[in-house]
Amino acid sequence: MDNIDRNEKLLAMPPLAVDTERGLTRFAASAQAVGARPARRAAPAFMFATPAKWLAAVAAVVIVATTLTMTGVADSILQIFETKQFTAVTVTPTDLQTLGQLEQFGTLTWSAQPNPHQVPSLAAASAETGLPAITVTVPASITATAQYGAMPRTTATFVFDATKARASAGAIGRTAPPMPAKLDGSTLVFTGGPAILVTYGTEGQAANGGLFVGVAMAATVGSDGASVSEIQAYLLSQPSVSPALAAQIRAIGDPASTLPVPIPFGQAAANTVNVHGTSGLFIGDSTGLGSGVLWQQNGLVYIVGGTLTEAETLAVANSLR
Amino acid sequence: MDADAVALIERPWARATAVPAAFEQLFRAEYARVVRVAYRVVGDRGEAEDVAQEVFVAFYRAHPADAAYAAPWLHRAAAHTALNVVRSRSRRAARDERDAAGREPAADPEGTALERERAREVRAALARMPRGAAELLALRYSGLSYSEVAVATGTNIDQVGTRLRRAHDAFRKEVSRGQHR
Repeated sequence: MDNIDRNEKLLAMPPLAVDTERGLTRFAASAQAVGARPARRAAPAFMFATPAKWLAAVAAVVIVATTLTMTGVADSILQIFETKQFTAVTVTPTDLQTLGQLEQFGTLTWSAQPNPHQVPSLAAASAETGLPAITVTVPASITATAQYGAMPRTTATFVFDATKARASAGAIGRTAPPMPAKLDGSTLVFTGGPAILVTYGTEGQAANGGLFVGVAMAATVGSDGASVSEIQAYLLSQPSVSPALAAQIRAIGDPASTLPVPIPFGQAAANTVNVHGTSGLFIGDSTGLGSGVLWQQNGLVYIVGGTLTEAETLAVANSLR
Repeated sequence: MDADAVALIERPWARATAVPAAFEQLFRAEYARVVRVAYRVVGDRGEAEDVAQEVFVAFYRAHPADAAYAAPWLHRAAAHTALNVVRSRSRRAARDERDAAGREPAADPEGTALERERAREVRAALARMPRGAAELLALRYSGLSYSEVAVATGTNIDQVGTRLRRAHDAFRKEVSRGQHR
């Protein structure tokens, strides 16, 4: 008990008077000194606990965007989405849990399972995927050698199922909002890939400097009837989706071409940057432990990230050939 | 001339650098809490103020002042950035040696020797614990309510108590380890 009390006492905050005026004066001066400009639009945060986790999370976004590929699509399928730009949306763990389990609203079927694998060289990756052999100027801080990965095209279809949605909600003691009749039984076809990913340094070595550079065919979604706005309205009406996330997604100006990039709440910053003369999404930890940038050009999605500062990441991105 | 008088003279110039009114309002509302979160981790006023400045500049560059998530973002970022400071410090052997000898490189002149020793002990334990648990303690013990801690960490409020108990266990273990080194 003595130990418990002692630890409580250790943690108890001693009184600390804070001079806010002095802080504000200093802030104004330093904001001016570093040329900081206030953000004009909502750009959510992203600051992972460690660079390794950050790299893994960004890689997960790449995988989501590249493992879904359309083949053998029926004539009745119309493309309703193609990734042309990105926007960051802040998500809570509950949001991720809800939206990450698409199968609670229907049935997902892989026509060809995603199969990312290592290849011996960039030339081999390019030959296998038909994508350009991307090269970048690697910063001096990155000392690891390159490893090459390739992912072939894969296919998935998803069929909405009102009965399944009701059962999933019932299983956790909730009542699901009714699925619109137009959505029930309608089919989505996800597309993306193939992809090439070049990595320098594994997750475990990230402390010594890691970098990854990827290129993929832009992800698309086809539908046999439901529109993006109908699907969005239904998914966002789920009680476990936070009103904050719903508002952010509804605010996306062009939902048919903007891929929302999920960013765990309160962990970093995202902003729009210019890369290769086009608009890209920069996601970074304010401490400079990790950052990444995503952009789309001529139907291809590019990603560059690593244990780099914003300036370094953008320099690597702009050096991509 | 004391620091306050200098600040009074400097203030009109600083304001003239056009920090938008909405951001100034956010700064006034949250600065003290952000400093306290950082202070709970680093245990040094000067370093806590440095962390707060870094956090506000990062927010200012990337987020609108009226964002609904502004306050929880700032709180979490303060804990995160402060932990980065103590962790990078604890990796430096020379610095560790100085700490072990009780000589604070950036000692808080207001603190007594006993307070400095307590701050060192807390800092060392937080630096070694799992980061999520350390952030939770920093937020809670800087004065945030359960609901504020829940929002800042993206945790369901029902789980905050359980997570805090686990964090206490981890803290206790690390303090004990520190004492037996």
